Amino acid sequence: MAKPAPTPRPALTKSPDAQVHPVSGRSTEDLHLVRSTSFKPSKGGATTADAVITSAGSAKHGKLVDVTVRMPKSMRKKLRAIAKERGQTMDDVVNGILAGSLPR
Amino acid sequence: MTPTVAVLSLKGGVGKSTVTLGLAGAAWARDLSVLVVDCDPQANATLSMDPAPFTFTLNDVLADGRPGIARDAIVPSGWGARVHVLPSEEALAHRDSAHDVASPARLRLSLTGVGDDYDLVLLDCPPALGQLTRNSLGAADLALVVTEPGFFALRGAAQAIQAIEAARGSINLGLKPAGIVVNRMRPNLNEHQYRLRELKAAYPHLLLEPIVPERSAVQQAQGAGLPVQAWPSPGARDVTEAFDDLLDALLAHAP
Repeated sequence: MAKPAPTPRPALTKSPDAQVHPVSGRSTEDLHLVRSTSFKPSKGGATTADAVITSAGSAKHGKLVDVTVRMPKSMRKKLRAIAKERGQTMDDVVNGILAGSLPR
Repeated sequence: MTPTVAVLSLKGGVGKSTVTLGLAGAAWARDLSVLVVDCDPQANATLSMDPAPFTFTLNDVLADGRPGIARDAIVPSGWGARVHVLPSEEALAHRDSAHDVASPARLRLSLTGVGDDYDLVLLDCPPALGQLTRNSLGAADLALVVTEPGFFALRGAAQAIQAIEAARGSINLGLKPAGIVVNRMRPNLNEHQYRLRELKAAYPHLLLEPIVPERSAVQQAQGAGLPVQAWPSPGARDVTEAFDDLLDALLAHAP
């Protein structure tokens, strides 16, 4: 005698409280965030090994260090304008200028 | 037998999801099949694994509770065909109240037979000892505690160890502690070095090596919906190596 076919298991359904916020009791809404899209090498500090040094002088001249230099505001303005025009950072511009003018 | 690992701490923000994702990524890199069950209503692991649009979540699974029903809610992640996720959503917090998920065996029941499809099952717990964490401890073979080298985090780790011991004596006799992972270590900080020594002294047999270093690549990869193992930066490589070794340590504990 043939066995009767087993009754298919009822499928999973949404819980009745799925759209209810656990605290407010109101409907929930999603926050749409933008994905990180690409790897951008950064010149981060020594505490992160993600610092990929890309500036002109870094690879040739070793570890980067901070130096505070006082200069006229107008000169800083010019440096910023050059950096913007070239799509570089201020560090890149200053390093490039110094590398070209200092004795080897 | 496929190991099912609960990743927990009773302090938030120490990197439970990061460690879960790091281990899942290490398994992905070895072409192992892995299932991540997101037991945290914050759903960060779900977001970071970039699954295809899904209808059902762990909330629906636990509300249903039938043996094996979890299979209906599992979806492929964006990481590849062999990495699947049982997604979470904010409404999962409804299941964290004692009257709602009455039995700590509910998750174990709903996962019946599911583990056979995978090489590794990871349960990403919320940062509290509510019903969701109790259900995770009830469903797991191994419990992995995550901490960072800070005062509050170490206290959360100690509480998690106690919770594992309590679970072993009641809801899951087969549960074993897999160890303590130290995450977000910055070796140049004296406080981190001090807390690490403290942790080694307190739990010499549970502390797992290597220590996972703090790297911004981890957040970048999570934001991109990729395993950190696929993120092309030197920092990502450091973290990748650490998780690869930790996966070895974890699998060595597997039943």
